[in-house]
Amino acid sequence: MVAMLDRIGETELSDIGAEDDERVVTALAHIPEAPPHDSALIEYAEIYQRRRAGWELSEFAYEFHQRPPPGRRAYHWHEPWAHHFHCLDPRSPDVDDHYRGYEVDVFEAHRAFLRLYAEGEVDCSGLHPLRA
Amino acid sequence: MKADIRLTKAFYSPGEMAEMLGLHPDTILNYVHAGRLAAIQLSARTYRIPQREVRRLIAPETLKPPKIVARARGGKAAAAALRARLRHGPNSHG
Repeated sequence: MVAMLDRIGETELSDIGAEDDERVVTALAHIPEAPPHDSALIEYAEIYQRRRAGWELSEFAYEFHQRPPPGRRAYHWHEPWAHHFHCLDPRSPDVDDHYRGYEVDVFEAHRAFLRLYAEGEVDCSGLHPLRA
Repeated sequence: MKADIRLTKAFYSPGEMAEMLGLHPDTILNYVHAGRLAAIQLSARTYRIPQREVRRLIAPETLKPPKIVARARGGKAAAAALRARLRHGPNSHG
């Protein structure tokens, strides 16, 4: 994760619990953006459980945020919604919901976020809200 | 040459980068295809190169290395804090 993020921005890595049964790995990058945005933030946070065979990914949050807010796209896996997406289109800043999602790995999320970063626009069309 | 280059854009096209470096655009694309240069592919023939990658080539000394924080213990508390942040709301990242 750090290697991917270090290609695009100043990167921070946090790894907590490597000697526990539960571990949280977080990597984030601050990236310069093209106007009208000042910057973007990409954050990958993963929770792992220790198993006999090794660390197993159990939850994650992959986030892309435009600065200044509110543009946002996120891929999440956590209770009670399991896999779901978040999306906030700056043209509709009041609409931020949980959207129907599917399993996404960090590499897919990274490719999607890089496109958002280069295109400069968060577009939520085609997503289906989980709640009416 | 390096001192004359001021990077004011968030990302650059291969043509812009080639001009800055005095190289042919195909050379930049070869770097991209060989994985020597990270680029964002917007379409079959359109690439954007992040500013940081340009700096890595022309002024690597200006790049800050990743900041790494590792703590051996506290995984359960850190996981609880992350879960609370995720449940708190969609904009809990600020």
